[in-house]
Amino acid sequence: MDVLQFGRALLLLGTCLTGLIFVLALLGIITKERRFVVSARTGFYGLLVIIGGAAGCLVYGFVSGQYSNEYIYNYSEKLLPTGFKIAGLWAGLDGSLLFWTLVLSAWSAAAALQHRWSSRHPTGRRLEPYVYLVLAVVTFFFCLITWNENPFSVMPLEQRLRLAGGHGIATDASGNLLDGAGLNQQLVNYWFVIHPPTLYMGFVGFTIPFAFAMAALLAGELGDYWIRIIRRWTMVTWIFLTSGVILGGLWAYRQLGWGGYWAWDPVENASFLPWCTGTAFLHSVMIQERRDILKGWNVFLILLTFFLTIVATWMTRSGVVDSVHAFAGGDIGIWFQGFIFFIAGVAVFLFFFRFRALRGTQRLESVLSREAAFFINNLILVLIAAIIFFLSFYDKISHDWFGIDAKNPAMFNLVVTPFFAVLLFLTAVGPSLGWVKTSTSSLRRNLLSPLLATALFTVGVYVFLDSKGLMGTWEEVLVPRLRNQHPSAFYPTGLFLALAFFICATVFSEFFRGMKSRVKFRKEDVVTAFFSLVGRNNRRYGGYIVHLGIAILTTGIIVSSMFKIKKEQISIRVGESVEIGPYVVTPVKQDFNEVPQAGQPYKLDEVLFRVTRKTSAGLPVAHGDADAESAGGAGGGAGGAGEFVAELKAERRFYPKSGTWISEVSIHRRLLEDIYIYYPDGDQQGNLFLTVFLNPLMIFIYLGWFTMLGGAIFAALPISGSKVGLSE
Amino acid sequence: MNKLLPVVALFLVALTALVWVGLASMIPVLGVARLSTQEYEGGDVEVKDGQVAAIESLSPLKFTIQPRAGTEPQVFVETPRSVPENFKVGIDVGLRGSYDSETNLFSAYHISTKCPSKYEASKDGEATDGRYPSDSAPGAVQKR
Repeated sequence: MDVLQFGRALLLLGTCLTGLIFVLALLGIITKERRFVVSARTGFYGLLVIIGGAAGCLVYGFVSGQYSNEYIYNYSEKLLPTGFKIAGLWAGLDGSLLFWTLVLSAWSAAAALQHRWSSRHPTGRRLEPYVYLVLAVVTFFFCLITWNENPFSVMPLEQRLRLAGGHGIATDASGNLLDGAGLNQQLVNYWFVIHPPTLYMGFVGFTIPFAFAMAALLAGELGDYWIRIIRRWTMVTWIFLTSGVILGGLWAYRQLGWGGYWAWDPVENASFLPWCTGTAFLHSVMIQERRDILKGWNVFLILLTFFLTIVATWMTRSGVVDSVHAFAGGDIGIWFQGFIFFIAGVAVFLFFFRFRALRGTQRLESVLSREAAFFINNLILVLIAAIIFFLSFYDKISHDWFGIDAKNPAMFNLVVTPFFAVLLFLTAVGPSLGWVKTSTSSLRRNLLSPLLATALFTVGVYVFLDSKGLMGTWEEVLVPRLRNQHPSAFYPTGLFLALAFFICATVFSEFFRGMKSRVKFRKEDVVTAFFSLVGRNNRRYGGYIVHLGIAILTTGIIVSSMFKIKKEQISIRVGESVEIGPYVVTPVKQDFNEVPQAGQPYKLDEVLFRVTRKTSAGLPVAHGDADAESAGGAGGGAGGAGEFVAELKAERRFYPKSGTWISEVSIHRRLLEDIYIYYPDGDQQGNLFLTVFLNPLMIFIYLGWFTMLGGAIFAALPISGSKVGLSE
Repeated sequence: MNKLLPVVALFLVALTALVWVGLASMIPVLGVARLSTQEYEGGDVEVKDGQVAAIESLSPLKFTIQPRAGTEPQVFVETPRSVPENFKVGIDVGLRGSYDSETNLFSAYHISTKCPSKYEASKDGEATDGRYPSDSAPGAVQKR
């Protein structure tokens, strides 16, 4: 038995083990004997080892070059660096399902491990077998479809010889292929190594809260226990999902050469749907803890979030919606549809079966309260998810069901943007509202300073951007422009910047008021007051840091997309220059390697660019149809070279095996802007065809992400309150 | 919860209004074959099922498209946009712009190409560079 056959055998063993865990959990429920439950728990540890072994076999196949395997042949080649060979595990549909199963096994084993402690709590002990029952069902489904897709299949000899003859690939004496077709060249960058696993961790992680919610419904244990347990699980999963979504955008920015990072493509939308409902849950769970209301809503949200992760997987892998990401189709869609209907059916039945038990003991007292703000925030997030879901399917529904072939490319921005504005407003105001009821005088006192600061900040930033030549005219900033599909076509940019600043101001105000109170009443110094304030309530202040990150991210998104300067179809030769904003870009050297260099599967066409600051002296300028599109008044005329800023190497690679050119953009990241050069082509006369962007405040997107990550990790730390699963 | 009903109602009214505005300003989506028929009445249109048949020039970008299934009719395309990633003969393109039936010219203000997550090797095993215009050989770049 070779290693790949062994991997397939392990997968079969894992599938059988999930069945055994299901039976053990069921016996534990029926007989109430702990030994069955503890055996099921141990089963999840074994499952992780077995599925890890199966995945390890496939990875070994990639690294050792077993190209007679169909999956490895399609997604690897000899010259591929080892890191990308390992990443071949999730490069295609079959392997990605095995990777999904592996991540699910790891999350399930972690949940089982947690029960070593939480089963000491009577409710935790009652819930445990039900949690395992649900996890076993989900894991069984993924084992089954992985088995069906079979990433371990070896090509028949006839097929191998045909490929060897057609592609000139060498074979050994047994007819085994000695090279592969190679990974899709657009995937050969480090983003491919980190983005999919991060997103998978987020998607798959929501299985654990789902399992607890279903367990609570099945067992009728609908008190606060399960919600306290899954709060931290959801937070950790949310961190991965948020990072996965942002990393996907940053990958597109780095790889696709269009200078943007989000295009409302169905595959992008699919990752955002569970983020919306997961974020809503993280807020509404606080309402149940504080006020014992929205119990049913919380169950609904967590079920919906898991449902959306499965729907998102179905959307991206079944080919049901037309996306720029042409994922392989096949018959997998029908499996997912069946599973979606199954889980939705069971969940809806249980939800209504336990409906009476899901009523809270208290009610909403006032619209001017924190719980009301949280609930409105929830409604908006769910509404946004519903709009995005509907619009993602709009083309298909209108064509297939109604025979209408029409669309509005601006629809997403037109409809979704105002709801984001309300969400940002609530994010800013929420912390100033008290639980139960807030008096208008208290609200005025809490918000007056942040509002004044917001006004000052907004004006200050506009003046600053104006002085940098990045802002454009006041009319462009403040008046809606009805000309393209960008949000600026409908809504004033200034509103969103002001809202982002408002969030920052209220967050700082919260920190300030908390510290002031400690300094005054506990006689602490400022530093001690700060650390004791955040240390004693890390969840609350971690949340505020996340809000701060959202404000920074929003600022980055708004400024980088609204004040972008773009020059397209520049035709330029070495030694000539083109102006972009305050800079002059000059190609100074071009190198073309006719033969792929050692260890590289591509020929390299590399251009070195020198970026300098503009002066009044003249230089040879770009010719051709340079099309300037500027929000900040970029000129198209001659400019001179001044102070040296940077050297950039933009390149394009020719992969002889597939006959494909792939461009690698070059970005010089500065504090206030990215200088972004996309070099897609040239001609035999020595003309280089370029697109150059000046994208302001892109670094804020990274800063916002890191701040959100820091805040969420801090909020998830078990440093205040009680330990998970015991006294909770 | 009744206290929040006006808020919910306000959201739903706003959503309805926005969707109505969006639906009122839709553009038709037509296949390449239907562009040259009477179904196209001028103005902006999105072309689906277009496949690059030939490339005339890269700067400015000029090329010909044909339906994904078949080789006729062919429509000439001009765009001020830059060459998108992965652009070559045989690749699917999405276009938005306007069509002049008299000159059979589609002026595109938006162009996108598919981003295949699954690599498929060419059936005959030959490496062909479909990116270059027919009058400039792939070897041209090697001479630079």
